[in-house]
Amino acid sequence: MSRKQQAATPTSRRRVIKVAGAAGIAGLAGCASDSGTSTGGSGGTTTLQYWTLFAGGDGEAMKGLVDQFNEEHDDIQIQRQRQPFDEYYDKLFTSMTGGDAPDLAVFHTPEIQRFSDALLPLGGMVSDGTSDAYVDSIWEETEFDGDRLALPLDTHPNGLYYNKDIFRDAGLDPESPPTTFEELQTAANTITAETDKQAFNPDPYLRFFVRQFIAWQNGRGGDFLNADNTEAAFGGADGIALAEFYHNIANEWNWDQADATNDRGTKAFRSGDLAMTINGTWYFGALQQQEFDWGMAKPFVAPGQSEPQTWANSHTLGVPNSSDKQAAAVEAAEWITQNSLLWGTDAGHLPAAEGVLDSSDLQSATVWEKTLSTFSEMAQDGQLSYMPSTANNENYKRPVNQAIAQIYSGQLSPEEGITQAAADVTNNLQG
Amino acid sequence: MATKDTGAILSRLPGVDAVDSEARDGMLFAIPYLLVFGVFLLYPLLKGLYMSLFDWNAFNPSQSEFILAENYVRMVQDPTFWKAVRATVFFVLLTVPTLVGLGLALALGVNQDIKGKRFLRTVFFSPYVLTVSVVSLMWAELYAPEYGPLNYYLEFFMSNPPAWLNSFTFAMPAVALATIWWTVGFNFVILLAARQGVPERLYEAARIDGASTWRAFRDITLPQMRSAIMFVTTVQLIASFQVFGQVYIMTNGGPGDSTQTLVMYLFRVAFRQQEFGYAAAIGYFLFVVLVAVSLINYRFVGGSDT
Repeated sequence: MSRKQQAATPTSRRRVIKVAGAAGIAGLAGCASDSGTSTGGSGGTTTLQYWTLFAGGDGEAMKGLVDQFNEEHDDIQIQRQRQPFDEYYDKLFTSMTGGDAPDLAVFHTPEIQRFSDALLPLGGMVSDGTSDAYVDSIWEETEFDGDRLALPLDTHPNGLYYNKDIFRDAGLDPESPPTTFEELQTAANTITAETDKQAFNPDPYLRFFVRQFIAWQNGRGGDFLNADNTEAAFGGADGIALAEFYHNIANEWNWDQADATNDRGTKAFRSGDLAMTINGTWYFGALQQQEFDWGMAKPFVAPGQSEPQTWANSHTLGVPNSSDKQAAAVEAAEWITQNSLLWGTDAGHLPAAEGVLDSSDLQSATVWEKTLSTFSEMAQDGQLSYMPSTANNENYKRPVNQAIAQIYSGQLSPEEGITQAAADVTNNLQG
Repeated sequence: MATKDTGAILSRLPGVDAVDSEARDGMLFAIPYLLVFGVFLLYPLLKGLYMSLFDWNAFNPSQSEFILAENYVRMVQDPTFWKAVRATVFFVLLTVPTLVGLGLALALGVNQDIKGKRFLRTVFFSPYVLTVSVVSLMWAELYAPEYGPLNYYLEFFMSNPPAWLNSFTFAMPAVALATIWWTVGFNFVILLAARQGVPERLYEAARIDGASTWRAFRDITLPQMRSAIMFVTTVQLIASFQVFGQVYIMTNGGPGDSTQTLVMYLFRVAFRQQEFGYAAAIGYFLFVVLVAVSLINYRFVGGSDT
């Protein structure tokens, strides 16, 4: 399948596997048909350039939304352009500084802040009642220093995905996935002993460790950064305890291989060789294509989760302030974010629009029973951890991802790795 | 415009008519190059220096804050920067001597009267025509831990072959090996041409005087090829100090920062951290290093015949 992706993105300079895996839903073929259904823009039609980073199931669903929009609108047409996931923000930044920005673009909430100087404040452009259309907690994530800089499309938390067939083979109850660290130990040890499969992997891409690490750190009652985001706060006992958990999974308990090669986990899970892994909402689309029976549960399986949390992020739509089609872009952003049923039913994300989230169309869909009801429950219980917004989130993402990858592959001791990562993060934040 | 003025001034002086037309023609011929040089090299060079003195605001350049040498002070105090310097020097040490030595060995070998000379020449040079992305993706596949051919065959001899590109110890040597395979052809061609330029009569004279092969190599081949070797070494030093594409594609600077070279770090600082001023300062550091290394190279390797 990834070969088809390769063919679909010939300009990608990065390792194809990385790109495909990062998108998370590489399993779908024919995903990268980029052309919107533009009518050519004559006769008073405004044509918007819209940049996204969605591939696979996400890409299909977004294409569907854009097609719907274009069908319903004569005066505005959207031209969708998909950029490779790994290079998306680099390209967006270059386009926005080079004066050739799109009219509308996707932003993850923690990335909004670093583009804040170049984004149009939407306060005056959306109606007063607009805020009522969105789930409050997600709506709040798109405001920076009093400015509304984007409209939220979804929230996409992490869950624990597990292969029910492997559970059955190991003699475990496929309807009782582990809910605590102790239960994870029992399940994973049983799978390791009874089958030839790998039991558990905490990040199937093996390069986004920081996501769930932050959530688990919060779940232990600890902090990831200090209150004003100027220092690392994870270098103490809680962080080291978590680092030991990562170390033990691959180096002591034999639940997984001590190998942090990118995307190894997602390949293994999709081919039915891995029993449990932690991944985001988007996994629904990819797993529906697989032949094995799977389920999803809350990922509160790290040690010491007294106030359980899971990682979450939101896709939002923002308008670069250099656009000369701002009114049309805002209208399109409102329409897409508030008519996002496909985004839930097909891409598997939790829509940010109240009307869509509460609709019977969504709640009677397969995805609701399979994953979204559980995600929705965690959202309502306040168990979502968003990553901190800093001037540049690379400052903390990279050191932590790198350190945990080395701890996982047995090249650094947990204490050494986490202490070094904390020092690097503090140094970067203050640099 | 400038040439006309200069020409007018020159023509007013007595007895310089010939110089006048020669100078004018010379300048006319130089203008196309000078334009390209000015727009694509000189201007960015000066602009970079200017930016390195600011806390550069990429979205609103006019709001950039002048901070004099603060970017340079920060650079000296930045541990990640020094890690990048060490990684770069390591890469240079791994590649440059091998590339020059191997290039020379291949050139001298192919210069012998052996069968299939033409074929070998093509084989040695052919990787050089590939682009960096093709080379990097191909070698990344070769090194792949589970399905890569290298580890597939190694598994016949050892139980747990390393995950090359994810290993602290092997990632940089692995990138260096790919680079050597890719670019040695360039040195090979230059050095082969230089070797073919050495007059055969020198070797004949040496043979008559009873010189050994080693002696002929040391006292004829090396001195005669000195300029070419110096040229190749300088070009290679510059290329290796500027390594980017291979590490960007094969390792993305990892594991840890072990393959994060200077240009890789510069790229991250500029486009991920959005700090163009600081990135420009790092670029200037590299520029100064390269000028210094080239000068030293001219001075010591180049010797008197340059």
